[in-house]
Amino acid sequence: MKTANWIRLISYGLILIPIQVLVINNLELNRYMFPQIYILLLLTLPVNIQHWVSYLIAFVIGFTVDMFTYTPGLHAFTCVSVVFLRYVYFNNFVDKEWLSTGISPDFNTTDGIWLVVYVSIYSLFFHFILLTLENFSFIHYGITLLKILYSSSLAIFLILLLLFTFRARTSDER
Amino acid sequence: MQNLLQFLRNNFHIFLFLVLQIVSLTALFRYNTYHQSIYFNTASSVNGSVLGWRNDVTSYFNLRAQNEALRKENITLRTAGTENFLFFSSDTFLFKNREGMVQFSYIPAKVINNNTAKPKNYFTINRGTDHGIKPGMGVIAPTGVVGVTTECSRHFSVAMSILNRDFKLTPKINKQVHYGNVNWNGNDPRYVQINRINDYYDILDGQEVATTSYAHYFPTDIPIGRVHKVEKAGDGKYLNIDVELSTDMSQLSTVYVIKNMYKSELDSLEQSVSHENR
Repeated sequence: MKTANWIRLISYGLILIPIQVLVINNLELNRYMFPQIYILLLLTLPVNIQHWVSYLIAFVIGFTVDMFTYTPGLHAFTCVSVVFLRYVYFNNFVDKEWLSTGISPDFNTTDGIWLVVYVSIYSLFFHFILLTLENFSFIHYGITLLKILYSSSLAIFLILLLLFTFRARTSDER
Repeated sequence: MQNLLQFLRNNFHIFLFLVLQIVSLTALFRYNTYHQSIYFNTASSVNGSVLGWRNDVTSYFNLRAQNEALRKENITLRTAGTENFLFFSSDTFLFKNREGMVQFSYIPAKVINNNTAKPKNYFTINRGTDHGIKPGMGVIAPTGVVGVTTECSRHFSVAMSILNRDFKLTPKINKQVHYGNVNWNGNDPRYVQINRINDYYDILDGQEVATTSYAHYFPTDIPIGRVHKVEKAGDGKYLNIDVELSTDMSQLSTVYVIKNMYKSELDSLEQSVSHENR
């Protein structure tokens, strides 16, 4: 991982994690919407990052969020799981040549459709693991499923909006 | 060795992944009360049913002994029985159908948890205040005295075992009341001790030790055990006695809680006397 990537990760983290834990977690939109937008940090990690580094980053990010939500282990577990799934996907279903370019997936570097699908799938996975683990029971699982659906839909929308905003800014600079 | 190191290096990220996941889950179950409570509830319900199954199986193993004990108890009940009654003078006709009133009644219960290894042992029975049990009631097994209830909830009670250093009971040895206490020294769960009995009594091995009704917990003549060993102590002025319990305390199963109908009356009467004497 290059220095530029580290700087980008840390600066995004310093903005996104406070927004997540101080603003979004306190918004009570309705009973079903608890979007977690900070997973943007994990999804935009460079595609050729070493796996063990990505696990450590995910763990640290998850634990930082856990510290604010008073649920030690919950977000950490989910983040590490999602990064693992991301690794499984990249390792098995993606062109190795593309991986070696070492890009961070966003609207500048990748195909728009692919990015939407990528963000949607990982957001769904993330909210599925997070909310299932948080609920930790299959009683009233219908409500949990609704929560997963609504939360991840809103999260997908917000994440794509953020990514799009950053793209617009960088293209203006050009 | 080289291969092993290579293997570890190649799969380092997998191990790291597993370690991080385990750390997260540990934190999750250790520090989150909700997850902890669900975990413990599930664990204890599984535990409970497993212990129940074990009991279903193991209760067959001592059926013969249980049966024997119950049969003996039946014989005792058929041949005796009058000691459960408080007799009134023959000209009392208030209670027409009997010449006496029932003083002791018995509430059957099962021991669901038991201990003999500590210096202060307690056991739990599956009857509580809903079934009429209060603290301070005697508990007997078919073969003899086992304890006194100390704490009661609605459905369960905890009883102080005879194998508890705080347990005290006035004994009858060979049908004679002796002013000493049955007390356990905390060593061998097969034997309890009676200390400082005057040495002019003729106490021999094998004599019966039974209850008196002095503490109002038990009717008279409920067996405790048999004299096992008599030792002289205190320059031969006293006798210290080891009593072999008639009940195997580690195999408690069916017990009866004894309800003394007149306990509160007796207690308040005795208390008023002790207040006057002060």
